[in-house]
Amino acid sequence: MRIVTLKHGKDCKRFRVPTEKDWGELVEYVAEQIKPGDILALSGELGAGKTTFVQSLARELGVKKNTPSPTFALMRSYAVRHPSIKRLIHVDAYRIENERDFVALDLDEEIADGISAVVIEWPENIKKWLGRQASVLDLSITGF
Amino acid sequence: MRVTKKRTRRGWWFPSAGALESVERRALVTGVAYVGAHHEGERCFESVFHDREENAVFAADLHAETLVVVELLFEHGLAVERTVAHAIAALDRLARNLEDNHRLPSPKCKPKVVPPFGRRCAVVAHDEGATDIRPLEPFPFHRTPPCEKPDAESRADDENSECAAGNTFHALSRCCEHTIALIDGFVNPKRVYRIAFIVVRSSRYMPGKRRLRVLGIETSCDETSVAILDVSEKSTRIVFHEIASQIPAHQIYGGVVPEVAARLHVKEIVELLDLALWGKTSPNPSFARRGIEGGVRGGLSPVVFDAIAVTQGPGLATALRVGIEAGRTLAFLTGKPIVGVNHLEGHLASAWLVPENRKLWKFPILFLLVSGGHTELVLMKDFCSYRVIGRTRDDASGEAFDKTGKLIGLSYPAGPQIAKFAEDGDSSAYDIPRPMINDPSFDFSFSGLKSAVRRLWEEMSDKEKSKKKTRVDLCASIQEAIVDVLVAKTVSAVKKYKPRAVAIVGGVSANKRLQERMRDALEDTTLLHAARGLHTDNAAMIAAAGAWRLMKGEKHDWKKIDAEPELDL
Repeated sequence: MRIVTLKHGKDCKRFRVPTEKDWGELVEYVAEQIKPGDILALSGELGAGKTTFVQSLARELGVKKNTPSPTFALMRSYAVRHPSIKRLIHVDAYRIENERDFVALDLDEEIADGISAVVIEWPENIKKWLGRQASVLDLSITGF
Repeated sequence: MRVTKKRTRRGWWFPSAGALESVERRALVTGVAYVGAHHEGERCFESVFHDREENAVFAADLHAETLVVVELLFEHGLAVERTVAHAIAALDRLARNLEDNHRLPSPKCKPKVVPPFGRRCAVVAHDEGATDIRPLEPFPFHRTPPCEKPDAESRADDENSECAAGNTFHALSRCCEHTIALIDGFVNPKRVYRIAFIVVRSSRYMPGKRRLRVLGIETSCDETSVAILDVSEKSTRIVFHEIASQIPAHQIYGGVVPEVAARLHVKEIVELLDLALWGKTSPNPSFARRGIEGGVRGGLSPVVFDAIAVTQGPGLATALRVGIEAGRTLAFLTGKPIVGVNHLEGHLASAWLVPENRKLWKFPILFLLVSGGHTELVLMKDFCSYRVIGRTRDDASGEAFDKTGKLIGLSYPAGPQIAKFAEDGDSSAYDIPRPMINDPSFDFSFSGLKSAVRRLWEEMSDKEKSKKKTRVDLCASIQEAIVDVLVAKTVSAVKKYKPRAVAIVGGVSANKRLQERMRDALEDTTLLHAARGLHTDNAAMIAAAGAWRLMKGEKHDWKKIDAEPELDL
């Protein structure tokens, strides 16, 4: 059983995810709440199911393509079907060891386009950058 | 009746009036549809015999009013047997479909009323590299194929084009005979028919060019590489090839970091291009020692090349753009065509560069593409025609090696180190899961494996961790688990798709254990030779894939070409 805590400003919500495949309620909630320019910071141990969550979210948003781990590419973007969001950017900060290198991804510019939402895995690695962002949803996954 | 060159829907073309005049006169053909003059049409033809659904649409388009004529387009009479077999297969299917749809009105197609003609069939053949259509006579208005050169087949290897023409002719005659036999059964001699031409083009067709010198540029991830490749029908020769690896710089970071990557690409691409094109010695002594074989005139004028191939994606956008900018600048300066290449296609082409593989190169070929960023099973039906039958759902196999390596304290890139430690280790020492090994799909998943290794490592005591035996055994177990999954999936894909050859490409293909296990598992299938020295990212493979694209008549506008980080096969 996984417990997912979703924090957005003062709001705090908890979801139970019974199996690795079943993210239904959480994914629906996130898909409903998410706005352009939002950053979803996904924290959790290796194997907690971060990529699986992003895969479910992408499916919920109508992405037909395969959504593999962006560890190698660092960043992947998908066109989505959603009333306000047109693009979902999936970032993996796993390999970012120096936050200065993260700037090279030009993510600030990508968010500024007004149609994109970002999901970031391993937000621990880019705390400073996240601190400067306006709208961050913290989502942490615990348990197996 | 005048037939002008005019494009209609679904990639149908009407050939020029002069080219078909003679055929028309003889066959009394009035509306001649010429399918697949170019790439689009070729896809159309592919769909005739590959996809049942599209096939039905195509056949409905052709309709019962349509007679089928096969045109063969060859260079040097290559691949005659295969092409004829394809044509016959397509005709068989079409004939069956036509029979099924006989006089079935199609909502899409309203046949024109045209003057009647009898049961006739016309064949037009292309000369090698010629742009005009040349009618062949006295063919096909009698049933006996004129075997002018009965020994043509035995001379198929001769590069003489006259012999090739004879060979083509021979093939055409058989093909046409077959067409007539097929159509004979169900056409009504009193009805009006339209004639459709199906172009069966030899995949090695290269418009007007027998030898192509391609400059390849690769900058998709952490390697900058430039190569010059001579491609001809029979052979490929690497004239120049250099990889300026950035791995030493990345080792500090424990991975590829985009800004660092792009910055080094800029520095290195200029040096490499200087060396490739002008033969200038570089301050880097390892470059200075190597000369360039041929092509450089006095070490001052640039090497003459025919086209530029550059990696377009997938990869890191910032890095890709460095190579693309270099390529398009050269295209602008030299006026040569530029073609953007899919990096994954480049990996497949690396197997084609091995001379011994050229004889074994028979489609379909199943590729296991395993690298740091990709793990895919690709079925290659023809040059530039691919189908991804399975891919990783999360981590790539190379990533699995690198990440598990990092977990147990190895440095980047961890793959070769794991392989080295694994030599002395016991692969059954630790129980590591084989994710999705029993899943019926051909997809892979390696994230579970990674977490299992992490859990295993965290449960160990510090004393145990520091033991050499622990390390070698763990490495052997990890390697065996990854290799097990790769081999199992490949074997089941071979069972299902029955390819005529199997190849392992990409960085992980250098793993000896993987090669060994694959050879044992695939006793009855041809396993292509590993591309030694070309398994990692390099420009020679990009140039080769670029040559495939150019053979298909593709090229990009240098003004418009841009990086496509999310490109897919």
